Amino acid sequence: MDKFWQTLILTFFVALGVNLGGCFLGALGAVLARRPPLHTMLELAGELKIWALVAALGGTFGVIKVFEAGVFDKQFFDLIKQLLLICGAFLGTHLGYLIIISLAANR
Amino acid sequence: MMRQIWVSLLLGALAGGIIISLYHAARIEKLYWENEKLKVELFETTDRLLKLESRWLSHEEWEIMAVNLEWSGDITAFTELELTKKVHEITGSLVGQRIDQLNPRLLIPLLHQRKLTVDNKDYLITVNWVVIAEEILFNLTASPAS
Repeated sequence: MDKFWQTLILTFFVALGVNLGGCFLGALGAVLARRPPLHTMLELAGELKIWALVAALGGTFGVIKVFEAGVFDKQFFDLIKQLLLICGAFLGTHLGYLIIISLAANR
Repeated sequence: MMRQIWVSLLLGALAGGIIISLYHAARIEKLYWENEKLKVELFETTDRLLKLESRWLSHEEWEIMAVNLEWSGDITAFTELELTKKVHEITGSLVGQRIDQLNPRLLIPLLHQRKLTVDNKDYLITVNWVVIAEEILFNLTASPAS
């Protein structure tokens, strides 16, 4: 498998894991802190979306650098790759968000 | 090896905690919101109780509870009793009224120079003095009206 696709899959699952893990452990923390677990999970699912995206991409500066190189050095292929990685991370974090929403909403 | 055991134990505890918390999440959530609702109800009830208590205390302090009479004059015990009954009929509406809303200028003419009939005999009532309090005290003189 191409290294790019490996990175894309990894990014997707890292973003998904950050959101899901954050929400599940947050719910556990909420139970220990005597707060409503489902409500906390729903709040965290929304709040963690952007952080999961950033964490999956490994910080923002690398991405900005690639964008800079893509635009000014006309490396459009790298630019598209980076955009795909961002999309993959976004899909992962959004899937996590949808899972949490459906899990909490069903109860 | 020891570290792996501890890490596994920690991960297991976390996984177990997550599973248990997710399994009971709905129930915990329901109990939490019921608890919050009860807290609000408790607050409202306490507030209402305080208001009721203060109203009750003010009721004791500011409302007329009874009308007492002191008689003087040349009358028999039976006449005094009948006159008392008639005066209580007149002053009965005073009970329950607030003292601060009572007009003393209207209170005295209620009985002063009033003619009351007992056994076909007329008696003139004179108000000597009045004490306005939770128990109003009228000092009255009854004399046969000519």
